This record gives sequence, structure tokens and C-alpha cells, in this order.
Amino acid sequence: MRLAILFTLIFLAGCSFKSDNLGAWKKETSNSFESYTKYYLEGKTRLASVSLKRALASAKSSADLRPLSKVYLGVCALHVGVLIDDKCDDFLSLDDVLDKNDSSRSYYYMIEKKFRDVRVDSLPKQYRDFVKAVKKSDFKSAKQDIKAMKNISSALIASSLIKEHLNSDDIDFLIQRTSLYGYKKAIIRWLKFLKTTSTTKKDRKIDKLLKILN
Amino acid sequence: MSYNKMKIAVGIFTFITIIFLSFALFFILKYKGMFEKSYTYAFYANSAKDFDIGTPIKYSGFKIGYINKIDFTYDGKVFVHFLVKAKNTKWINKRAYLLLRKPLLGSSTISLIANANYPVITPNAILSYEVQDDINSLIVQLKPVLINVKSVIKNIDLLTKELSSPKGSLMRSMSNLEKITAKFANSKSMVDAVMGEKKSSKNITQSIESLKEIMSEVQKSTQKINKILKHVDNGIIKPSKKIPKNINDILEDVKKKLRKLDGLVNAVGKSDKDIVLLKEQILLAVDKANGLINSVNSLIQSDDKKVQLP
Repeated sequence: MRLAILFTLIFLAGCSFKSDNLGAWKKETSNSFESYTKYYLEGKTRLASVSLKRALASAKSSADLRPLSKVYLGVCALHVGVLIDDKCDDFLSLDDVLDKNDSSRSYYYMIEKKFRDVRVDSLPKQYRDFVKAVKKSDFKSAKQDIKAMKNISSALIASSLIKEHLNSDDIDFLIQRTSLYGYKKAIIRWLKFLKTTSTTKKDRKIDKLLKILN
Repeated sequence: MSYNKMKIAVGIFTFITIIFLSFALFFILKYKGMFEKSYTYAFYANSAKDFDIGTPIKYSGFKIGYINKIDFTYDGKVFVHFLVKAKNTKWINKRAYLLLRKPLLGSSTISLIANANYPVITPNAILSYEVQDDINSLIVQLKPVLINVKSVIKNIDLLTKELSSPKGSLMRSMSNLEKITAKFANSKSMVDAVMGEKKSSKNITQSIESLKEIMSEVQKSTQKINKILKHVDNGIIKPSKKIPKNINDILEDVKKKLRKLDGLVNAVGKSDKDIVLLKEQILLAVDKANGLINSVNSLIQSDDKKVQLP
């Protein structure tokens, strides 16, 4: 019992009841975007839409536009991760008000496959080795780097960036991994992609899976 | 070298080594304060479960003594003796007391809390003893938040029950509408004529069709809320951050359903103040709950939380 309370309260350790509202909008943006990511990949469209609206509303409550640009970029990246083309127009609409050296820009170049413009050291850590390998056209290493990614959404995004170089086993492995999280939307999208690369025998299995999932 | 000379040399070497080791040991023990005089002090505790013989007594983070004896008294209390080195007895004065701190992480520690401006007390004195339980104090801090969560959830629960109750104003209005639309089912133009415009009658017809489904979903949400409420009633929240998120999800769901009802409530609400009031109450409750969830999230997260790119 005490352990249970302890675990709950570990989260509260070091926290105090604050009377001010400092940074609350940032937390709300971040939390809502986290919820959006989860719901989007799970295919819970309504909940994802509500979470995104909240994330955008809170991000727009400040003159600091970096969180807003990250939300736009994150949305774009998730689309890319589930194999939906997205030119990141929302992110680009903030182009003239954002710092040209902002780290988000490298991320943008990455998800748009403009690898030559990517500054590897300003990318989130999980992508650095992957991008280095892709820049050298070393797709074998890039695939290994994807397998080493702990975050499944990062693995989905990275996989989509080299999808032409993935074989059916790679895709199958990715789908199995995604299945562990119950990310239905991602599973369906990647199954459909797998269908384009697989044999007739596998096709039947994929069709059946898609039928069940839909 | 003859055998006898060798024996003498070995003997001298062994003797010097023993002398050297003895001196080394002596200086180590002296440095450790083994030969320094210690004085005994004591305190009463309700339980000995958080300390043992050898548990250090600290002052300003430095060890000044340790527990050397624990007795169980005839009246069920625990009488604890602790030793303090002579040079540290100056900290034990009339206003000094011992504080057992049970941190959230790590083992319990006993600290001497003292102000040097008071007269020193003589050895064998009994000191006061206090317990500071970080877990308990956090629970105390958390209680108002829990009470708020509970009241908001109960409010939502009442409202959803009101929505789905056959005697509720929404259901009564719906039932009336259903009768009207049933009567006019064969004459769509008449419904349009009654409602004034085609759009309104279409909205109502669609809403009636989806109402049953909505209500059943709202009831499911209520059941989920009740489950969480049970945990809150027990005085303990589940050991995870999921609880605020679950509440959030449920409330978002209720909000969504409410939006679905918009077409209907707006059309009917013009003539039924109760429904408009009900809707306003729900929106207010949901808004309050969202604010509350944000504040719970604020408690459990650092101030510099940033949007993490996937």
C-alpha cells in the first residue's frame, strides 16, 4: 500500500502548489500534443482532433511561437509517419517569424527528405545516427538505427523516410512493433503499404487483417 | 648469514611490522574518534520500525552520534539511547529536538534540530522527538485537489444522469418531439411548416435518430467516472498519471457528445429554458474540470516542459 502511494507521489515530489500561471500554457500545449499523438496513431480521430485544437489554442496564447511551430511540425511528422504526404504548410507559414537557425528547421528538412540541408546535431537524439547513415546512403545501418529507436512514433517516421529501401520483412517487423502499442491507424497504413511490396500469398493475410481492423 | 642471525632478522622485522601496524591502527581509530569520550542521550518514540542500532544522528548533514540501544518500555513505547561524541555535545541544548524524516525516496534519517544560542543540557537527558512523514504531508497537500476532482466528477455524473433520465427535461422534450415527428412522419412538409424552415426539421430528425446512441455512450462515460470515483472514495488514487488523463478523456468525450446534441438543443432550447440551462451547466462543469486537470498536470510536471517532436 505504502509503495503504491509512494509511486503516485513520486510524481508529485518536489512540486508545490503554485499560485502563478507561469508556463502553464506550455505544459498544456505539450500535454495536449502528447494526447494528440497517441489518439492520432490509435486512429481515434475525434479525440485527436479535440486534443490538437487544445494544443493549438494554448500554443497560440503566447507570443513565443516556437511551441506552435513544433506542434505544426509534429502534426506533419505524424502524417509522414503514417505515409500521408504532407508539405508542412502550417509550419512553413511561420517561416518569416521564426529564427532561421531554429532546430525545428533541421527536423523539417529531415521529414521532407532534404537530408543535405539537415544539421544532424540539432536533430532530436534518436534520429542523429539514422540521418548520418541515410546521408551516406548506408541504408543497412539506417534500418538498424530504426530498430534501436525506443520511441515507436520516431521509428514510424524514420521508416517512412526510407520506405523505398525497406523490404517486406522490415515492414512486417515495424507493424509487429506498432501492434504492441495498439496504434491502429499506423498499422492499417503500413499494412496497405506492405501489400504493395508483398507476394500473393501474403496478400490474402494482409487483406484479412485489414478487414478485421477496419 | 648464519641460521641464528636470520632468525633474529626475521624476529626484528616481525616486531617492527607489528609495532608499525599497531600505531597505524591506533591512529586510524583515534582519527575515527574511537578513544574520544561519548555521552548518552535518549528519546521516546512510538515505534522503532524506522531506525535500528547504529542509525546515525545527524546535525546539519554531519554525523554527530548514533543509536546504541533500543528498549521497549512497559507502557509499549520505545526508549532509544544514542551516543554523541564529547565535541558534539555543544549542539544538544535546551531547545534541541530530534526529527525523524521519512523521505519519499531513500531511507529514513534522524536529525538533531538545534539552535546554538541556548544553554547546553547535561548528558543522559531525554530529548523531544518528532516525525516528519513526507508521504503523509504530500497526501495532506493533495487532499484539496482530490476533493475538487471528486466534486467536479460528481457534478458531471449528476448532469449526465439528468440528461439520460426519462423524467429529465431533455428526454421529456425529446419524447414530445418524437410524438410530433411521428405524427407528421408522412408529411415532411408539415414538419417543415411547424419548425419554420427545412434545416431545423432536418436537424431535429437527425438528432432524434442519434440521441439513443449518444445517451448510451454518455451512460458508459458515467460508469467510467463512477469507477474512478470509487478510487477517490477510497482515499487513494491509482499509482499512475493515467487518472487525470482518463478523467480528461471522459470529459472530452462528454464534450464531444454535447456538441453532437447542439443541433437539437439549439432548436428545442429556444422554447425550453431548462435545456439551455442544462447545457450551460455542463459546459461550465467541463470547463472547470479542464482547468482542474490542467492544475493537476501542472503539479506533476516540471515548469520547463516542452513540446517533444515525435
